[in-house]
This record gives sequence, C-alpha cells and structure tokens, in this order.
Amino acid sequence: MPGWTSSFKRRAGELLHLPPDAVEPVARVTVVGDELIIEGAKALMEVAPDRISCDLGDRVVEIEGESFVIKLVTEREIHAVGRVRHLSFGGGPR
Amino acid sequence: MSDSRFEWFWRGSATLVVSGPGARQCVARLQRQGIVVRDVRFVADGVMLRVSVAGLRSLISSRRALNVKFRIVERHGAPFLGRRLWRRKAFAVGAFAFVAILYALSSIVWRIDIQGAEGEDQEAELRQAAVEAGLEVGQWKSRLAPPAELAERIVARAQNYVWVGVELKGSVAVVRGIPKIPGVPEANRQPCNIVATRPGVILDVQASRGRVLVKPNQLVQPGQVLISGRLTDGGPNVPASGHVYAEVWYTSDVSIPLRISQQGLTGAFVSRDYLQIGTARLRVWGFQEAPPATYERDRDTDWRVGSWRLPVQWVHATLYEVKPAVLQVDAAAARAEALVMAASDVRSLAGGDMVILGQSVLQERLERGTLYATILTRVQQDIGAPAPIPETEAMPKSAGAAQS
Repeated sequence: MPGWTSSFKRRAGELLHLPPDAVEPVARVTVVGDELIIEGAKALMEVAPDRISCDLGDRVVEIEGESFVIKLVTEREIHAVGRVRHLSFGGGPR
Repeated sequence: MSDSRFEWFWRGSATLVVSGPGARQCVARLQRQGIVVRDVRFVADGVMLRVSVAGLRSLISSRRALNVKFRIVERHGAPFLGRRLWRRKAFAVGAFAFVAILYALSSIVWRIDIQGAEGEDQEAELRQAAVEAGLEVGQWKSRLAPPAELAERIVARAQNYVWVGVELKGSVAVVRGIPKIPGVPEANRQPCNIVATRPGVILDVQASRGRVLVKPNQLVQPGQVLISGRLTDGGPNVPASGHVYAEVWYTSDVSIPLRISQQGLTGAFVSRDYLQIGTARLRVWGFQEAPPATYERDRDTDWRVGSWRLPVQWVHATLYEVKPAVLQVDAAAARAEALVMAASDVRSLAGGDMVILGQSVLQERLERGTLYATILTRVQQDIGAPAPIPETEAMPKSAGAAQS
C-alpha cells in the first residue's frame, strides 16, 4: 500500500508527462543493441559471462546472454556490454 | 565517493585479477559495499576488474571476508603517472621545457606581412614606418601597443598612405595599407616657348597655345623658336604648347657579314641511360656510338624521401648530332637586312612617337665578305620641346594664327 506522498508523486508525474523513474524510486532496465543499462538497482546478485541477475527492490531481473563485460558497477547503476538472449523478471513481493 | 572518469584519473585506479573461491561473488559483494567497479571481464582463473585506489584499500581490508586473492596487473591515473615521471626527471624537465619554449616562441612577432602596397618602394616605406612605430620582427606580442594605436602611429609616419590597419594573426603581424592616389600632374603654368630639338623640315604644326612662328616646308635648326609664348610686345606671356611635326634625317652606318657560320642539329641522335650515384654516372643502357660532335640534353629524375633528395638518381641523356653549317647570304638580302637594322637604330635614337617616311642607301661597298652601307632614314617626329622665354627677345614676326 503506497503512502500518500508516493501516490502524489505518481499523479504529478502523470500530469507533467515525466518518465516514472524521474519522480519515483523505480528501476529502469534499458537494452540498446549490445548495451545493457540497469538503473535504480538495489543489489547485484550474480555476475557471470553468460548471466547477470540483479535485485531491483520489488522484483529480480535476470538477464541471460553471451560474453558479458561489465563496464561499470556502482551502488545504483550497472552498465554492461554483451549479447542479450533472454530477459526475465521474477520473484519479489508483488 | 565520486566515480567520474576524471576523478578516477586524478585519484588513480588499478586493474586487478581477482582469484580464489569467492571470486565469482566478489563483484556482487563489492557492489553491496558501495565500491564502484569498472571493466569487469571474466578470465580463466577468476575476474579481472578495475577499482579506484580508495576501493582498492577497502578491498585489501576485506579480502579475507570475501575469501579472495588478487594481484595488481596495471596501474592507471595521475598518482602513478606522477611517480613514473619523478623517476625520469630529465624527461619531465624536457617536456615542461618544450611546452614553455613553444609558448614563449609563439608569443613573439615572427613576420610582418605588408598588404596593399604597390611596388617595392611603397612596401619599404610602410615597413620602415612600422618599425618606427614599434612593430618589429622578434618583438614580444605583450609589449606591443594595441593594433588601433599602432595603425595610427604608422599612418602618421607613412606619408603616402591614406589608411593603415594592423592585425595580429598568431605570430604574424599583417599591416594593410591603402596608398594615396597621386593627383593629376599640374599643367605648366610658367610662360614658355616651344623650340626645336633637332634640325628638320617642318611638315605640320598643331599649336594649342601660343603664336606659331614657322611654316610647313621650312628648315629649322635646333634651338629655333617654333611656337612663341609671347603674344604681344610687353603683353602677358603664356605657356606655349602644341605639336610640331617635322621630317628629320638620320644616317646610320651598318655592316652585314655575308658568311655566317653556325652550329646546326642534323636530327640524328642516340640515347643513354645512367644511374647517377652522387656525382658518378654508371651507364646502364644505350651503347651506340655517338656522332663526333654532339649536343647533350639530360633529363634527371627527382627522387626524394620527404624533402631530402636521394643521392641515387636516374639520368636519361639524349645526344643530338651537331654539324657546323655555313650560311651564305647574297648582297640583296644583306641590303634588306641593313635597312631593317638602320630602322631599328633610328627608332632607338629618335625615341617616342615616330613614323619612318622612307629609307635610301647612300653608299655601299662589299669588302672581304662584308657589306658596309650608309643608310639615310627619313622620319616624321615631334621635334618641339618647352624652353623658357629669353629676357631680351624682340617681338618675333608672326607666321601663323595667334591663339591664347
């Protein structure tokens, strides 16, 4: 059950046509060609040349592919390069 | 902790190979600790990754907990670069000196370009004025006055310029000038006569001012007044002007040899190819026997490496056969040539506008294969020239219409 601040933020974001990740603490997973960017990650769970899994807070994203090279790992962001074969969301409380 | 690329360069970073049982989990656990990791690559015995120096410190302290071993493969960034430079002081000093010298040299005026000047005199004037105004080659640009002030000083010193602009383009100072256009030369205001410069027979007088004193078909001597500037006795004098065309005779002595010996090419030739090494030539091709007398024309290659001309070049030489030829001219052709030579002689003597009216051979003799001729050339030319009016001159008798 979201509190009234987060519902106000969501309403305001909808009214101003802002992307949801700009106002709310939600994650954004972007795949452009061979580039993979995960923003708003809570925790990195596993990295391997063929597999990256990451906790986004309310769910877990699992990415499978080939020859991943992780360019950058920070507290909130993960940048990787590699051929993505399969992307799935799973787990989490919702 | 900032993780910008500049920050990483400034603080320094290291590439590590992490091995051991916990290597696979290492990246995830480092992320949970808040350590930024870059360029993670999976290698045979573990993980290769890059962390900042601060990250490396915390990794060292927590390596037991992570259950990993690591070795540093490569160091990046300013601290390591600085340490390496410190070890090679001469190199660092050289690099610094290079930049310093380059900067110093680029803040000197190395060349002054002059634009807009017509001819060397005007350019030299502007250059001199620029030097006097304080714009010289080899001067510091910072010591230079502002361009507008320099331009003002230069234009004050260059008398023949209306406007001067100064512009600094790097180490080149461009001085643009607009020269003054000279006005129409002042007409002669001083009263004068037109007198004859050569003896001749008057053909035509075209006076625009003054009194004409001569008639056509009259023989005049040098110094004789042709158009007088004195209109009346004691009256006002005027500057006389006009054209006085007269027939003038010139005699020229010309000698023309009838036998001319010259070297002629027969058209036969042989070719040779040489390999030139320094000054030595090595014949490579062309072993035909050369004719006894030849004229040689070489065609060299220009092989270069950059701007350096190689000492080894290929030379293609062509040897043309030469035969002395004797040209015999007959007397009539020699006479025609003598007339042409006399005409060009007269043309240089008379100068200015002239028309050749006719030529005649006064005398000719053939002696030892040479034609000696004396040729009379009749020429129509303007013989008038201005001369001051003498103080004590009686009123001359008029021979033509007066005009003022």
